Amino acid sequence: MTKRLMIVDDSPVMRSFVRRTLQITGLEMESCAEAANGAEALEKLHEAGVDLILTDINMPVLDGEGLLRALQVDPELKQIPVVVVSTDSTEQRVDALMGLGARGYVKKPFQPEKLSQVLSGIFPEWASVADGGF
Amino acid sequence: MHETKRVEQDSAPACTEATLEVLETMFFELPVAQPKMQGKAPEPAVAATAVFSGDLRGSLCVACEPWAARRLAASFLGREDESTIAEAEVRLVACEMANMVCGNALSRIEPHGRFQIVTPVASLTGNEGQEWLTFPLESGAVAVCLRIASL
Repeated sequence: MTKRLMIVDDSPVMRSFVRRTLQITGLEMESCAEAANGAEALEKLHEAGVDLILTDINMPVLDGEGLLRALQVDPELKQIPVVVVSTDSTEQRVDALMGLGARGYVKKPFQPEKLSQVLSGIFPEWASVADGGF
Repeated sequence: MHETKRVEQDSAPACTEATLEVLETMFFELPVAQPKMQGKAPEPAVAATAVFSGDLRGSLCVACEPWAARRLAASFLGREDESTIAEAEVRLVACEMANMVCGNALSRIEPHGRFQIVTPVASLTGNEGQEWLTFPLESGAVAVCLRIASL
């Protein structure tokens, strides 16, 4: 089943990397929007439907934690699952983000298999695609 | 100061492991020989610096020989033709490498710590007289310098 994704990261090359990794996994995407920070993501989320958000933590304007907090108080957006993709993998930070409602955490650097595994946990219909791909 | 030096020395294995993991996982590249410590960065170089604060404070710099930087950027962006990669993209990829090596190294040095990494900038600052962990690649070298300013 195809999904609409959004990648939130202030680095355009990292957004490109994540998008390419998603394509490598074989998971079917209907669309893949991009935003350079949490504020831009919130703006775009109100314009277009998204089934899953992949977000970095350290970003200018509004960081990943701020984005998670904003989503939690927005009745229209709070149901969208969020997966954090970040270099910051200290235990405190991961616990804090999961406490803010993140559904998964992928530590950079990561293999496509890891991203696929986390996404399959959120969308079980993707599990067979992920298993077949690796 | 003495304590700072000790932490930097103790962090060398973590820095090595972090760099190797980033090179292999995100750039599909493995060094052709063992990394070694050198007294200066490669010159000329495409460089990026990530400054961090929190339980440890300091910076991590990455310096790549230009040809290696272009090749690494091509791998990262999934482009076979290196000539299609703009200089700005090469610098951005170097910044992302500094970000990933920094975060990875810090989480190995202080797994229970809390850090804030400022968005890396494409420059080489404040590393005079520092030791560089240098990884020889097929097409040049990439060097990493972790500086811990204070505890």
